[in-house]
Amino acid sequence: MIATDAPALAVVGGRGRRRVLHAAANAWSALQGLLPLIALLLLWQALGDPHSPYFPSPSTWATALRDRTSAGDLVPAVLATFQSVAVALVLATVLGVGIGGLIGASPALARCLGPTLEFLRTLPPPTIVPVAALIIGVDEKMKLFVIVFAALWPVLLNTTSGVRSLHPTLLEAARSLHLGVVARVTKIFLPALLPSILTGVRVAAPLAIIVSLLAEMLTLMPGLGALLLMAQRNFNAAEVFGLLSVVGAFGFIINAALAAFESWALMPQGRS
Amino acid sequence: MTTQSAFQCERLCIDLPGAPGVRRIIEDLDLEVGRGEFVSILGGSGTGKTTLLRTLAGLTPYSSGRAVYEGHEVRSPAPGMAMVFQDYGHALLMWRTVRRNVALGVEGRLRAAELDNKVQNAIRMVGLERFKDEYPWRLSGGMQQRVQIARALAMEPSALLMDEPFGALDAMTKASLQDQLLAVQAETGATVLFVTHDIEEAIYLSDTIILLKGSPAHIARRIRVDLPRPRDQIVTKELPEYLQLRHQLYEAFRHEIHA
Repeated sequence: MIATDAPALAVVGGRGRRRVLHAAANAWSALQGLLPLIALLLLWQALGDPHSPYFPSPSTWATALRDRTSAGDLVPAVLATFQSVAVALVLATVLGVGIGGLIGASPALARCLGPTLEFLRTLPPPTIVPVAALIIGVDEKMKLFVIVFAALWPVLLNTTSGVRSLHPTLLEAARSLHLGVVARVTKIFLPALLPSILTGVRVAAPLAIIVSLLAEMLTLMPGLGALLLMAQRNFNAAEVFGLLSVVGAFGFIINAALAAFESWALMPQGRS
Repeated sequence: MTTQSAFQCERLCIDLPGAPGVRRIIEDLDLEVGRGEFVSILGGSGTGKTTLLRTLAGLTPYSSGRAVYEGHEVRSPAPGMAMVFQDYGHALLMWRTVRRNVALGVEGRLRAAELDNKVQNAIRMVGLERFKDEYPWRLSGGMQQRVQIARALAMEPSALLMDEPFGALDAMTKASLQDQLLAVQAETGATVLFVTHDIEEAIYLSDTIILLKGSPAHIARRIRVDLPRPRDQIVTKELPEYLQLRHQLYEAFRHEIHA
């Protein structure tokens, strides 16, 4: 092992070696964070009863998940939920940045829309589901609507406060450089607001996942939420636990991807 | 130097909103700045130097009278003028490299080769060739201010409006940027309006110094600086004329302080 590794490291040189070591250190610190969880699962596996109706041991979860996969349910469900969450996040970001930007830039608009938005914002998203189902019907559009409704606010509010905290000198510099409206928006506003917007998106992502699962549970539309509810109704505890770990991993991966994107996008600003 | 004027103000009045109500900052100000002239606006803090400059830059509206740039009334930033702010930290785009910051005012209007040429030239004039691909937040304050000056220069302005551009810099950096600015002005022939509260800086750089006084402010004195060019940090500052101007201005400020 060592004998084969050594020449490879020699080829990539000092800088590459440092990068490899750095990546290894990162992986190790990430693994450290997972150690308690792994220990708990191992303990559960060792001491738990695989036939328990309530707390079946982890190996049975894997079996249940494998069954779901071979039945052709799991992968489409994960994809359906992921698609809803991703599309809704994009829509919420576009809408939130647009509306939030306008409200931040215009005090008059903020006064007009403020109370209405404040009211809508405080509505718990789950209560929207029945209303949306009545008006729009139970379909993908309704699901998107409900998720966007929940995920919109963090982006919108962050963008508004971002616009308000833009430094006047930055805007005056843009004016004195004779930039037009489009250039001002694309070259000044959006890049300057990027940190605020991305913070909003990161707050919105878990909300989008929660509401997506919830809408699936309430309407049994295809997705992880529906699968979870069906498993519960069938008293299949192993499958419930299995799906729960899939949901956890799902959220974890989306969050990690967004965090990675954020630090990549903000690198030139020196803020990551 | 031509006799035609770049800037002209007639009975210019500027009011700004304040907490207790509207306050008159500048009253009945007459001013004429010739093309290619280097004019410093000097005054104590709060006299309205920056307000006057911002009005001439088209950033702050005026209430009455006239402010004219190249024959046109100033209502918004006019083509041909470029502004340099004191607060370089907020005037630069921290997410763009030096080169792309400098290109900001001219990109989209020029072909790639021409743009590149102008940007390179502006960066050369402020001596930042080595740092053109660096981000501004990685540079020192003096270098960041030079990026802002290069950004203005890339637009090839006929008038450069500078609001205490060296106010936040240390003495060494300040002296070197002053010399660079004089070299740039000699090369481009641009009219420069330069706001400062530093008496020696005003004398060293200017053809004319305008002393603002009072509240609302008016022009208390207009002082011609006939020191030979090119100027030199050591030689110029030892000339009897320089010392006499320095004396005169400090006297004027002494009265300002006791008024």
